[in-house]
Amino acid sequence: MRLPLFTVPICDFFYFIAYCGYIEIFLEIFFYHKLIIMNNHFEMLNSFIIRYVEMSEAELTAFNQQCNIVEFSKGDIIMKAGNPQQNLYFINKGLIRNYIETDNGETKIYNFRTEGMQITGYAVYNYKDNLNALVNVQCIEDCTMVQIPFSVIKFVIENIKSGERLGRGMAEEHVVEMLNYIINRDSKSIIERYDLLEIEYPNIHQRVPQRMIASYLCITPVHLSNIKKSRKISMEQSN
Amino acid sequence: MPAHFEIFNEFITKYVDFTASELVDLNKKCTKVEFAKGDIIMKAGEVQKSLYFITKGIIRNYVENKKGEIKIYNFRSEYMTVTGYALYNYEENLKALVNVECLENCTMIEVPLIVINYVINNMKLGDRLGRYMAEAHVVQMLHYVLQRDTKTIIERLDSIDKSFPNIHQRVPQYMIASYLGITPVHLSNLKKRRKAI
Repeated sequence: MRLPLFTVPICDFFYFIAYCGYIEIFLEIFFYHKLIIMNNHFEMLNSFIIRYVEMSEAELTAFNQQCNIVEFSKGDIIMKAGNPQQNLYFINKGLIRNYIETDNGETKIYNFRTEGMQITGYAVYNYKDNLNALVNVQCIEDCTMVQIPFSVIKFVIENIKSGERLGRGMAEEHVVEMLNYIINRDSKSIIERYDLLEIEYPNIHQRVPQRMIASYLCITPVHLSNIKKSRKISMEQSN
Repeated sequence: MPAHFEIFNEFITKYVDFTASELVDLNKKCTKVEFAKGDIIMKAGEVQKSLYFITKGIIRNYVENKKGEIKIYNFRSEYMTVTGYALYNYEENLKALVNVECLENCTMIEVPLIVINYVINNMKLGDRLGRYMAEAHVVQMLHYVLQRDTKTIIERLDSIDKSFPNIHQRVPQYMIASYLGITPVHLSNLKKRRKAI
């Protein structure tokens, strides 16, 4: 039996309707998914921000839309000391080291940064020196970060009411962090600084090679290993 | 020599454009104070209510470790602020993080922290001033740390000469040695050797 000719367009029509429905559902799922991904990527950054200042949802969205999510591999050098920078970063996942090289080519680790922290290389404060990074930044793990161009920082400062205050709060916290680093270096024992590092960066000893921890503590890896051994012995004896 | 508040205002307008009336308003809320050589203005661990701006004199920022050893962390002289880092120390109730002692008779502008709050909340560029000052602090501190790890003692001695002209006439040598992390004898030997070259 042959179907009447007109049924074909009718079928097409219903197929078309059904097809549109699928697309709609598909698009909905796709965008919803994307929205969730976006929220996840910027959620950590936004909660970091609102720790300092109040920003409206609309302001946060306007800000987030101008930032990018970027991935780096373990070993990647993101910033080089002395090179002008165009971005700062906020770590969603991963761990980096801030370090310098001395004239004799020795590497000195100055500190670490991990999830929920920003990476500036101190470039963003270095107005006198063309926004050059003051330290090198290298990924110690594969990292996911929010990249914030300096032009966007400018946008936030000039267009968002509490932008200036956010910058102030962040710089002030930096001052306290650095001063504590300096004072601890001069007044705490190696083992005290080792324990402090663990508090500031949970699991750091599983994530970072011991030679880097030793560099941060300004001692040799052998010295660090001996200190840890003697502590273990004294703890066992006291038990 | 410009009047004390003029020096203070010059420092502010280096960072931001406050209007003349804003500067007058701020100046009225601050007081000119005098300290004698040896006065301790701030003690580490004590809650602070003011910061200072030096118009004449020099001070040292120092910490004491558990053994009672004194470590000078830096100096401050004319055109610089003295905060003891208290005003940044929100987590700890605005306690000073270092001790501050006058090494000469000093004249300062005392800026109460409530006035800082007033400036931040009532002046358009107040937050920006605070941001720039904190940012300058960060860079200065980082340079201190990096120089300690990368420069020789002689290089650091030259750099302190540049930051504080005449410091050797104003500050005892043992304090400069403490700042450099060496003994006074070591410093004296280094200077002799440098002179010989």
